[in-house]
Amino acid sequence: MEALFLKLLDMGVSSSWLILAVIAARLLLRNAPKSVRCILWAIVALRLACPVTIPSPVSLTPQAPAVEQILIERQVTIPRQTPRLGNQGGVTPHNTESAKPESPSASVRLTEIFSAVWLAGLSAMLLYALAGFLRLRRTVSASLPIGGNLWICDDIPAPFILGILCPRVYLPSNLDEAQTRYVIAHETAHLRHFDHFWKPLGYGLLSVYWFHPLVWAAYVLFCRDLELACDERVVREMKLSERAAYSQALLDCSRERGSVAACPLAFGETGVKTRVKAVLNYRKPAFWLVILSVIVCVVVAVCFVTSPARARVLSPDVFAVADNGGDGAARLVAEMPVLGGKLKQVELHIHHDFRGYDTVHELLMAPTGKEFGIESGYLLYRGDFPPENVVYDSETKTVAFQADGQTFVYDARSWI
Amino acid sequence: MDNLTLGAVEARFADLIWEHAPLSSGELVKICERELHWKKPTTYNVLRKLCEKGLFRNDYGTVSAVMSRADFYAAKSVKFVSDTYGGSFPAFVAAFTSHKRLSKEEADEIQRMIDAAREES
Repeated sequence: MEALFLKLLDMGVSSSWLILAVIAARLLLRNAPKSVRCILWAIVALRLACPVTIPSPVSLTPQAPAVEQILIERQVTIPRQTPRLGNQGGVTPHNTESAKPESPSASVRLTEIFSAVWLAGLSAMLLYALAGFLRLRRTVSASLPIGGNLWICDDIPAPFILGILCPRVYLPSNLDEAQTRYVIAHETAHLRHFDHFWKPLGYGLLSVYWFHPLVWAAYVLFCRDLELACDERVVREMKLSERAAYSQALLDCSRERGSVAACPLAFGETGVKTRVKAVLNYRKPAFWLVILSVIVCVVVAVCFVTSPARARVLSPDVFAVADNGGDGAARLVAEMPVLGGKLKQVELHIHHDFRGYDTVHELLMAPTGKEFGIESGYLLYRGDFPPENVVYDSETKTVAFQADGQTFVYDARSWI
Repeated sequence: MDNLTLGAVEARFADLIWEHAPLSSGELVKICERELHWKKPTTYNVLRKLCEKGLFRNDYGTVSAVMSRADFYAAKSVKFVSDTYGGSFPAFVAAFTSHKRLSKEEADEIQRMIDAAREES
């Protein structure tokens, strides 16, 4: 659970730049077809949903230390009462009973708390959606079909679509003929493009990333763009007089009716004024603008759906190794006698079922004079992926290795 | 009784009752299931609303008409939709417009925009 949360945190943070870029692109392509905006949001959704990114030199996602790394670097130094990791000499499996850590590090507790809070938030979002859905469904139970998947109902204030697999369009029963015509055109345009599927999907992503303010902004803007794109599809071939009639239907359907109960937070809803303005001022976009939009989409996708394949220069922190008593297996990875005689060896530790992770790999630097099982040293890496190609460059005095498609570089001079 | 109105769905339901009144509520449920494909709670809900409006009564399971169909349509005034669904739609629902309150100023402004467009075309 904590691993999932940390991964989401990582993905969320790295998607921030993409969201900002899309917001900028929206401004730039104000007059382009609105469906372009929906494509951009689809790219954002892909990035948020996909845990795998393609390392690429053209990535524009700025470097940020992995969230987990940050948590480790802030780890408190535990005094040397923690039990040793094994005996002198060669590789020995650890004694499982005696090797429990005295106290879990502060960052671990923090992660557990955050994960729990995140899960609670996610559940709340999903429950809210479920409650809203059930309430709507109850309201429209008293409705009558009028052909196709159209239904009329007395108790709804505005038309909408309900249902993902078998979507139904519900219309208020008091629409006049003109309004009905435009509403049906609008809703069927939604259905043809599966908007009744994308919107809940977006909400699902929002529920997962509820802690991320930019994702909220993205969802609000996405909902707006979805409506604007749908309007555009409907009025594309209409003359101005017809577009005025369409706008009239929009306005009439939005007017206050009877007594309206207290309105909860109105997010994901589009201002009628914006839509009417867009409909009335609609013009077929110039060809060059369409081309530019395509280029912008491709550039955004390539630059931000990839992650940088550059090396990061970090400095390690001193810590005390606490072993959970899992199958820590260590093997010697490299010897570095030339670092002023201070460092002796690099060890790779592999822990299984370490704090709920399946397998954790740790790359450690043991100071000279320590036994094989180190009590304290330098943590270079801790993660799900095994570090590879550990290399020491005596010229630049850096230790480099690769893990998870990224290259890590440590400046060893800070240890001397 | 002057402001008594019915939505299209309620009117259809009321017609069913007027056709068969008086009848037991159980029979009404069966009829609605057959004609409208409504479940029992739905039927009871709408019946309750119409009883509150004073059109029908439900005495210990017997549904009867307080006002006859002819009388009702004689006194009928302009229809409006009773906005019993309060609040905004859930964020994941694709709706035609938002249910956000439109202020009078905003509504007038938008109407002006529409009228200007009509003049132009």
